[in-house]
Amino acid sequence: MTQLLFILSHPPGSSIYAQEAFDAALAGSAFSNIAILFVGAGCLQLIEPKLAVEAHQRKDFQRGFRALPDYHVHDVYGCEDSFNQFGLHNQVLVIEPTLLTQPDIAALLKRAQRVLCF
Amino acid sequence: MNFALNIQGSPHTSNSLWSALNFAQACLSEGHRIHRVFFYHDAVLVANTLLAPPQDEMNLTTAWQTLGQDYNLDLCLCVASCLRRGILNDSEAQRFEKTTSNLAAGFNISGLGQLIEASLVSDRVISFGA
Amino acid sequence: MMLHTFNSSDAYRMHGHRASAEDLILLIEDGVFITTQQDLTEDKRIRVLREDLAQRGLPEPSAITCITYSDWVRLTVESQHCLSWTR
Repeated sequence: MTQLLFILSHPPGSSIYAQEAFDAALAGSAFSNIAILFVGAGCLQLIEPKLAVEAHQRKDFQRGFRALPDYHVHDVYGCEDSFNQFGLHNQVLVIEPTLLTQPDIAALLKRAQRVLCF
Repeated sequence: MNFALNIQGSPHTSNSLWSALNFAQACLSEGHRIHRVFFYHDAVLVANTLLAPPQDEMNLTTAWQTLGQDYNLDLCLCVASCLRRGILNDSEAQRFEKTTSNLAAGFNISGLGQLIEASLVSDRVISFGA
Repeated sequence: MMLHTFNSSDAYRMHGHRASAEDLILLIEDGVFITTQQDLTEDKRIRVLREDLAQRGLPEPSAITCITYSDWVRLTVESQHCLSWTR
């Protein structure tokens, strides 16, 4: 059972919210069994950053997604509708989440013990 | 029931602190308990003792302080969010060699673990997004 | 049953479809502005936070249930999760 489901909806870039939301998910993984769901503009976090680290205003925290298995986080999902809406299939992604239809997402919500929305 | 509140929005560009305040008051009036109120992202800015809003505007800092005092609430701020945004208690101000601390009374600074713990032990966790 | 809150018109447009037939939808904060843009009277899942309508000078739409903060609390007790959609 997923104890904590983290729903990540912020795009990367201008705000630090996406990075801080990922920090919260990592903190969750230290305490419990978590799942992560990227939805809406949050899916844009999955696009591989292309500039060198020092050229960003923000840390390219997205590289941390590759380390999720090291944190025992294996349930990483993306909304299929959002992937289509934002053209993610045409992008190079940092990781490839399992894509969920909206009925799949509804089922994921039912299985989660608690949901944290970011 | 036992509630955990996860508040994220800034005092000035979001209603989330206001919505959460009213939700919390209603929650407590209905006889529920609030295990913890966790302030994350820009919501930590509400705990800046140097805020000086005009007298005829809502003072969210004092509103949260009053609610926290009346109901003995755990008003917990994320340390990482605080440091980024310049909300420092005395020990952090000293550690980072700042000229002053500015953490408002009634709030405490801790880690994300407090959000996670609150979410796991409470019956409901409510997020008030930015 | 899930309770979905939407705090902006954009949030409702982007994520409103995520509410299932048995879920409830609560418009809060700037989310109440969607009542000026769409006719939601046919969707019986919709609730609107009364105070946020009043704060914005909007009339309470007829045939849409307007609720208080206490009602919101009760809905969260009755729901499995309260999902906050903001963008």
